[in-house]
Amino acid sequence: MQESTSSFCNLGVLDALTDDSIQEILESYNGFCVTTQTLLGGAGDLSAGTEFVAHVHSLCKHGLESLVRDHFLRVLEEAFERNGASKFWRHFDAYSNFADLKRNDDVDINEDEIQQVLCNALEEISLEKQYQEKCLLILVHALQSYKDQMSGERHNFQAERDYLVSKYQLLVSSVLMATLPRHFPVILHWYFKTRLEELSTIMGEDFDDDASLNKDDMDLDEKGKVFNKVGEMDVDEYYSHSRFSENSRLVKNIGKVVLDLRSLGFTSMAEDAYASAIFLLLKAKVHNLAGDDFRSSVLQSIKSWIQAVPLQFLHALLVYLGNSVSYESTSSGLKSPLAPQSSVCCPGIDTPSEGLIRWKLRLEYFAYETLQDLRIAKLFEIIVDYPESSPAIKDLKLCLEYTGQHSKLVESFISALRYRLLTAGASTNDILHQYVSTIKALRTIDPAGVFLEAVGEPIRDYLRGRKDTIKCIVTMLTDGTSGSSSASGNPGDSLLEELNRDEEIRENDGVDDDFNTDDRQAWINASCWQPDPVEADSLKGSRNRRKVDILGMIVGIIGSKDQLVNEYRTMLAEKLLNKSDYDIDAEIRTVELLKIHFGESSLQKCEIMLNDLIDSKRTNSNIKATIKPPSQTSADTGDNAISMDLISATILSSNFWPPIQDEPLNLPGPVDQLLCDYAKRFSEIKTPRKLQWKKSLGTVKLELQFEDRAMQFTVAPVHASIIMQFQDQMSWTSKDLAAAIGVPVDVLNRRINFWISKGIIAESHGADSDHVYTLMENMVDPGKNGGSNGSPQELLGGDEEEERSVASVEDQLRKEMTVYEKFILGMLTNFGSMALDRIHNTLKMFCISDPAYDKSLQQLQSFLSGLVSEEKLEHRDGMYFLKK
Amino acid sequence: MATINGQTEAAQGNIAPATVAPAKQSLAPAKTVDSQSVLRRLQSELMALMMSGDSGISAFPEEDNIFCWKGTIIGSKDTVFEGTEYKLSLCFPNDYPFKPPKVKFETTCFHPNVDLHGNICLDILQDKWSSAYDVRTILLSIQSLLGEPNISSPLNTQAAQLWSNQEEYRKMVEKLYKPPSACA
Amino acid sequence: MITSGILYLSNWFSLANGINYKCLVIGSSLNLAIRWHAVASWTWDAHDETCGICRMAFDGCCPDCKLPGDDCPLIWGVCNHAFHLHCILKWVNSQTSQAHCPMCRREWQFKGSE
Repeated sequence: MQESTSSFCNLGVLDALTDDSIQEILESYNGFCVTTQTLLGGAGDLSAGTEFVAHVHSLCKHGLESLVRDHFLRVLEEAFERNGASKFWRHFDAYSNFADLKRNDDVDINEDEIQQVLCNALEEISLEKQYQEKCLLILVHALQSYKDQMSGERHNFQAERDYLVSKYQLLVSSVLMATLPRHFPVILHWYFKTRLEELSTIMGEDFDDDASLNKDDMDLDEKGKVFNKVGEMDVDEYYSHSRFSENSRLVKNIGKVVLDLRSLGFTSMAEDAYASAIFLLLKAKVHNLAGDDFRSSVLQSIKSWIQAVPLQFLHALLVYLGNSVSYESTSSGLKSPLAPQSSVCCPGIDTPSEGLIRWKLRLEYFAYETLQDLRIAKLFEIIVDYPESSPAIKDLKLCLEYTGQHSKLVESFISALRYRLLTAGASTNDILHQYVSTIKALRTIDPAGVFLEAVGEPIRDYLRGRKDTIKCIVTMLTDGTSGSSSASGNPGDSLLEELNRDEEIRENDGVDDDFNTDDRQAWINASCWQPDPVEADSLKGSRNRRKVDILGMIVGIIGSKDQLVNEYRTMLAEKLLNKSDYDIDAEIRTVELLKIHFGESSLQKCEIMLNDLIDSKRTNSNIKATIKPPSQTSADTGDNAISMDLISATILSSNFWPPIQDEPLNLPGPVDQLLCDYAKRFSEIKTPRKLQWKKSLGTVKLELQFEDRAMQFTVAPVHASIIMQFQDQMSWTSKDLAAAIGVPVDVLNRRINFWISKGIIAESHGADSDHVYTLMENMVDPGKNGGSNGSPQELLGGDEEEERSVASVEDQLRKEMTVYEKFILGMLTNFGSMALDRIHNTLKMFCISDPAYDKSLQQLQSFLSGLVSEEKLEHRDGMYFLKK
Repeated sequence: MATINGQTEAAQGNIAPATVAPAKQSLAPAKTVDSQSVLRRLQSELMALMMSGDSGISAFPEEDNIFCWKGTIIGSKDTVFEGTEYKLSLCFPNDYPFKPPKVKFETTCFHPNVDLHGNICLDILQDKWSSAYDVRTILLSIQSLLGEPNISSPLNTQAAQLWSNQEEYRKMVEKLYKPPSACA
Repeated sequence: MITSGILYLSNWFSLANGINYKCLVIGSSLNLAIRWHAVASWTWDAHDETCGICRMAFDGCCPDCKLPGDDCPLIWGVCNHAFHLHCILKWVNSQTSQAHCPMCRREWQFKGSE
């Protein structure tokens, strides 16, 4: 209003100008310029003030108010450039090389010096600025008093003052910004960093005191509660803590710097600087707290530290800044988390300020993310340590829930696996154990198993390429003694026991976990369906299992439970065949557990095998109790006669056992005779059933008694037969001995090594390159067999390369292929032509008994292409035909 | 609530054939067990047939039902049916092998003991049935029936009359023969 | 005691000694004691391998049984053909008139156990 009138008047005034008035204007203007120069010249001389006011009045009288203002501001700007900005920047010239440093580079910097320089520079420029503001106020007053004179009443000069002050403020910041050197933000960053570190050392001591106090006095649970309580407490209230006053000096110092910077228009730069310093500090703290110790949870300590140090500092800073209200804050934009809120002024009473809460969230998110990245990078080690590392896993789970960056975990872990586990150097057992640990660990993070599916796939793929995978899996599942399988379980527990126990526990908790019967699974699938998290490939995860099913994931490596059961049966057979007692409690337990998971029918054969052992025990005692005394049945009652009491037998229902490899063997006469009697008695009791001995199978316990000592062995029948041949004859040629025992010479030469290695038989070369074996009368080197007292019991054989008495699974696979081929030819004969999937389905449908069809579509396809190349089949338009 | 859920699920699970022991007792025993044993017998027959390698006869169950098989017979050498291939269907009753399967020609077969609908008159498929017969012996019997018809009780009198003239009979067989299409 | 089948190494030689045990003398320097656990399989003393009715192995069991051996015995007809007891009973019961042996068509009669 005022201005528009005055500028309108100006035009009229021009005509009315007299020479006098021109003269007066010129003089006043000159005077104004000179006094302005004097005022702002940098000498700090305010004595020209009165003269200055007079000139202003004079010029205003002629309506040249705006000229006055503009000129004054222009000179002010020049003066600020000269006396303020350039001087200010000159302070930092020594640090101009900072601009090229990374923020977290470690450089040798004299931190105190920077601090000093910054404070000095700020003080100087602030003084200059204060002085210039004073001058500005003189102008405001001059303009004002002119107006007061003219109208004879007092005007509110607030508007004029605000206008000029804001003009000045703008001028200050634009001058500074325009001349800002690149190293200044770096210097600010360093400043805040060092000050915050200093502060955090002081505050951290308090924090550590608290923490150690808690550690000493309370168990972990309670400690957690205390921390939680702190978390729930009014943020502000926590800060009224008396100890904090000790730090207030430092905070005030920092606050002062922030205020100074703000007043220079560096509001957001200052904020950036201390924010980044805080984050850096936080990051260092997270790394420091987390470290490589996975056995304790650190998340809570990190959160407590955030409360105790950075938030406390920010709070104090906000209070400080809030108390000294400054006009710039409004212009710097409301979005800043530091925008002062009135409530901050009254700590301990009000709810925490919005800004502080926002800071809290930002810091926590950052901490979660930092910890998460740290843990993900070390996930491989963490899983190796599982379950000792479960606190770290729990932390990671919480972090991921917060950040939602599961895909990071998947990618990073898969590459760690490829690099560290899935290599030729790792044993199949190690890989399997890591796989199981991975499942156990990750299911905490991911109960639905979706990420696990993605992570597990490379391991499964890799394991499928190894020959001994099935065997290792079965051993791991069923054999408790095989080592490190269950760190969490009781020692000696099989993985299966452990899984079962877990399941029972979970069922008792009322949490329904997966079952393996398909119907149960389907029911669960239907009742708890939920969409897959987007991060995982939805095609992979969703198809069968919703809940993480460790056993299912292990079976998934092999492809079918039948293969696993089959391998188990082979192992069970071997174990049972080597038993010399009928103690099968452990095996019964395992079969029962397997039945729970794989269904009763798949284990029927195993059950019959176990039943054979039970029956054998009963039959064995029955036969021995009812058999006629040997003196009557056997005419040969010479020195070599042995009692039926020393014989026992396992009687198999061979149809239900895996194919058993029996090699011909002539047993020692007395033993053979007893077995004949035994079989005869069996046929009498069980008529019309009869026994067929598998002479090479079984176990023999032997005690060799020498003059000075006795030695005990548990050996295979072939070893016993060999040594017993030396009853009648001290020395044998290998040819004769092989003939006596009924085995090929090479077999004999291999088997007899057992006795040679024990120092009981000596080998020498006879005629015709034949070996001669002689019984050692005086035992050689007793130390060789671990003590001469006869106590060490040698386990079966001693031939490390002992052939398996049970046909290998590979042999059985070869047999399968023949059967599939016949089935495929058969169905094509009757149906003419069939597509791949129909052949697949038909095989699945009808090729179900021994060997059952359990191949994948891809496996079938390559099998069919094999038949096509053998010219048994043709493949046209996606259909298979018989080759006519 | 959790317990209730647990029970429903357990109940659901019981329907599956391979589950915990109590489930089996609750099922009606006779029928299930019977069809189970028929199933096992048919499976072992299929396995035996596939592995036997008899030439000129074959059979395989239809896509989803092991009680219905498709059979194939090739006319024996030195008979009027030499070089022909016939499709048959075999339907097994629930009490197989105590009752014979129903066997029919699917492709037209000009034969004294086969009627126009493909029905076969063969004693072992009727009163002379024995549970010792199986798919293989049935097919072999039918294959030999082709070359050695029973003229005394014909279903197809025209064929029975023509049988004596083997040369004419062969022409008739060729005229009526429709080779089975490649697609089932 | 010995018949219990579960004997431990520490005492089975002494137990054996207590009953009917004689040391095997080799030369004059070596005695030998043994305890032999052998393995055998049982089989039905029949001419055929599989049951003509259910096609299952005799040494297995009929489709209705779970355990072979005593639980699922074989039975012979006077014609000397053997079947699973359970199978031939079903066959006999399924015939309306006099049952014949599924293998040889002779009138079916169980072979007397005498």
